[in-house]
Amino acid sequence: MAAGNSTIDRSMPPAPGTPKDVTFPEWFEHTLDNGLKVVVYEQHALPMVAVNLVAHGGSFYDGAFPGLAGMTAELLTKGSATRSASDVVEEIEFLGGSIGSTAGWDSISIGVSILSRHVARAMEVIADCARNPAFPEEEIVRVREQRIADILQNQSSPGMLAWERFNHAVYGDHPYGQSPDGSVVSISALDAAQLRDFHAGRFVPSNMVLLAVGDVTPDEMLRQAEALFGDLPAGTARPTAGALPDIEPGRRVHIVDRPRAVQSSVLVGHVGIPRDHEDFIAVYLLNMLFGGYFGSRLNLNLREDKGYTYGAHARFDARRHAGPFSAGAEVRNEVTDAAIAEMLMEMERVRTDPVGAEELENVKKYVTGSFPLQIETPSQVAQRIMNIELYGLEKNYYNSFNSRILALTAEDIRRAAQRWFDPDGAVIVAAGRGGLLRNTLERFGAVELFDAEGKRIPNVETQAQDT
Amino acid sequence: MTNINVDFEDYDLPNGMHVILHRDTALPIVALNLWYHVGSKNEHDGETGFAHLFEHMMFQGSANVPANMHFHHVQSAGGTLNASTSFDRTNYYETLPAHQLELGLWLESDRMRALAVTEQNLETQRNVVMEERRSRYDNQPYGTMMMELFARAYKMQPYRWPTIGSMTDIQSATLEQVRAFHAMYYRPENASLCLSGDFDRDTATALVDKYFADIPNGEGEMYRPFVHEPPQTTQVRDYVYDNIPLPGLMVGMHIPDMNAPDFVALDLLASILTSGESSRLYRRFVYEARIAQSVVSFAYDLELPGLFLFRMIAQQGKTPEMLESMLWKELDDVRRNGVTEDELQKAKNRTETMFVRSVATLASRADLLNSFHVLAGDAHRLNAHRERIQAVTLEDVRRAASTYLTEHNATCLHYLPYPKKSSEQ
Repeated sequence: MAAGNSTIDRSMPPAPGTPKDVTFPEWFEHTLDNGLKVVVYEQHALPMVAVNLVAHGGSFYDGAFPGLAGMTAELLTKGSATRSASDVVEEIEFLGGSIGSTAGWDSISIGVSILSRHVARAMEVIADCARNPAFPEEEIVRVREQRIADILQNQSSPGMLAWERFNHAVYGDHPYGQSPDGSVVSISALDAAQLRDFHAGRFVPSNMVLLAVGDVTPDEMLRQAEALFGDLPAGTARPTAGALPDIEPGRRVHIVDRPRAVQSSVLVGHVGIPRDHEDFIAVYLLNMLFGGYFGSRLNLNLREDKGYTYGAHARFDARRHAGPFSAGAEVRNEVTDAAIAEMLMEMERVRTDPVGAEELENVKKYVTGSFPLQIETPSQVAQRIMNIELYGLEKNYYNSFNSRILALTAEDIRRAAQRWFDPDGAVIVAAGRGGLLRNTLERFGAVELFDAEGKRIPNVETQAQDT
Repeated sequence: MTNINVDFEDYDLPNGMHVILHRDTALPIVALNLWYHVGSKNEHDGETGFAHLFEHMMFQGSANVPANMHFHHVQSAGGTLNASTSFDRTNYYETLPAHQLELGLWLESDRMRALAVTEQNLETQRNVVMEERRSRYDNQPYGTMMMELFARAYKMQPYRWPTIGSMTDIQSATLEQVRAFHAMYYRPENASLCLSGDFDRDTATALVDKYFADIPNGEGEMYRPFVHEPPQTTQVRDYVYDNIPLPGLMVGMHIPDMNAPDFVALDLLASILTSGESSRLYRRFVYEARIAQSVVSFAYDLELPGLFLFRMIAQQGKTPEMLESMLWKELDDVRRNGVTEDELQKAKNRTETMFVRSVATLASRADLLNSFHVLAGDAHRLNAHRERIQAVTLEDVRRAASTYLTEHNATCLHYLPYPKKSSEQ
């Protein structure tokens, strides 16, 4: 094609201008006499506010009833002493807002997002839901039915099947080995008394943070917080973490059989790092370089070089305790074993060979340069403030982040890889065609086969022709 | 109405490339967003998926940027980037630290001017795209519902094949076609560039000139299908089996294009029917009758006449027949009696909030401005569009329902789990 007579030199990338300094924004915090912490980040660019009431401790405390925290959270918006489930949602949605309640591993929360002119009314609703949840029997029945249908649906999703199998295989009986969504059995068994008890043990002022971000002022929020929650006694959070079962390390190869699959969902990994660990920043940079962005080793190898997959990623799911590290990709059936071999090879390579100066420089530039993009919206800022809250990070954490990234050396990365990557002990999981995978994955270790419901399939050759 | 206007200026370069500038200096970031007015509807039967495969090739090297270096340049400057292809358009975007604006312009202009791709790159990307199709559609439960419906609802319009294309067509794409496609559609007069964020206005216009003004126009007329389906007079229905645990129902009715007067009423109607847990059909299907696990509807905004879509997944033990018969009963009620004042007001309030959310980032604002310029013909319609929403009346909604959401205008697809017997085959 004709490219016109260019009068400018296009052969080299233009020199950048002068960067401007960006600091993590200031926020306001104040703790009420009863221990409720009020956190406000003001940003008036758009007339929206997001308010979240967050209690420490989530699905980690599910105990013998996986799904307990998640179901408790969902029921919070399904009726209070004076409002029905329909009243709650109608009131917020009529104002154009949305209301939601959810549980993570380390928190359970209820929140609204709404135009700022309606924020007082919306806060009144969430305070009512959080303080006086009714856990009505008919709503429990509905939510239970919905959640069981969700679980069944997930059993047809290759990504979910692989992820749940992976967590079971890595963690066994540890809480992280259970699905926070629960099982058909556990969800069916949960009743109002359990939900009420879980709520009562978490939603006490000394265990809660009220976080408001957007078009709002600290004065207004403090006044609201005092009026809506100031009369509550401080309380004590429960349950607290008891002794945790040991996690048995070591290679396991698990396959989830999906008879008609046209791809395998692959996960390779093991126990990772707790969020507040001093190595976290080195591990963050290590993972970015290994499989955290488009230019990572894993993606360039499996996608851009080999064309095995649409994308390969790796991540450390860092929680209060050591959550999982996993490398993953969806790859076509025939190259499943080859893709796994490459993942293990890349894990080994970053442990042995020092990272080259240019590669290290590039990944550092990506991480530090994209910092302003991470704090563009109030909700992005809110998420980071919550990380500081939930994991007890220092208040200056995000402002010292870039300089700590820049200080890391190739040797730091190699040391982090040696400590936090264990290719020989990595668990390998693939959801795909059982007959094919059983044969090809044997080279990584003894293969165990499961069905979509998690039941073990006996090791007999029954479906050799399913490729 | 909330008082938010997205302020901008726009102009054309002498070669016809459109430029939109939206300044916001809250953070030192700039979003570049470049739309080409070409999508899968510009393809021909037998070459489906080409516009999207081509989008992948735009990252595989240009005159001064070797394969994969596009990603590399942006990411090591601290930027993020991606691209996407739809029926009607292809967009490319980067968000960069403000002092790297020129880098973004250099990269985008280089691949607009001259691609430099090889057979080897194409071979790899054909494979990557086939995996993309498997990951997002073929290997996902319910992943093919939409394309199966479109394939039956349209007989003539080029929306009848999916943007991702068929495996056979993806496999047979040639380097020759890649070059020809670039020459045909990736020309300045078919492009719109929006800069959004922290830049100095005069510097930005000078830089845009520097990198884009000398790119020559293309030759030959671009293929722009302007095909309208004949009105549908009888219902179409079919059954599809998939690797799913719960059956589903997908229904689509023909509606006008996104710029037609009735479109906003249909948009609000979709919100009234299924947006949020207090919406009409959520309450009836999921909350009260408990026959559906989820219910979604939307008016698909397309340049040629689109579809009003319903997608439901049945609750355990319930059937697509049950979902469908209740849907027709509910729609009959809307056609006869319309909706309530409160329902309409709520839909307007929700649409307003959604608008505020949709302009929360510089990147989303840039994309929105380009979408109004390219698909509605004028970025200034962005703010007028919100006034059109406020002006919709109860009668508009009722009339839209009774005109379009009818039995004879519908294509119904029942999605069923494979029969148990053969599931081990």
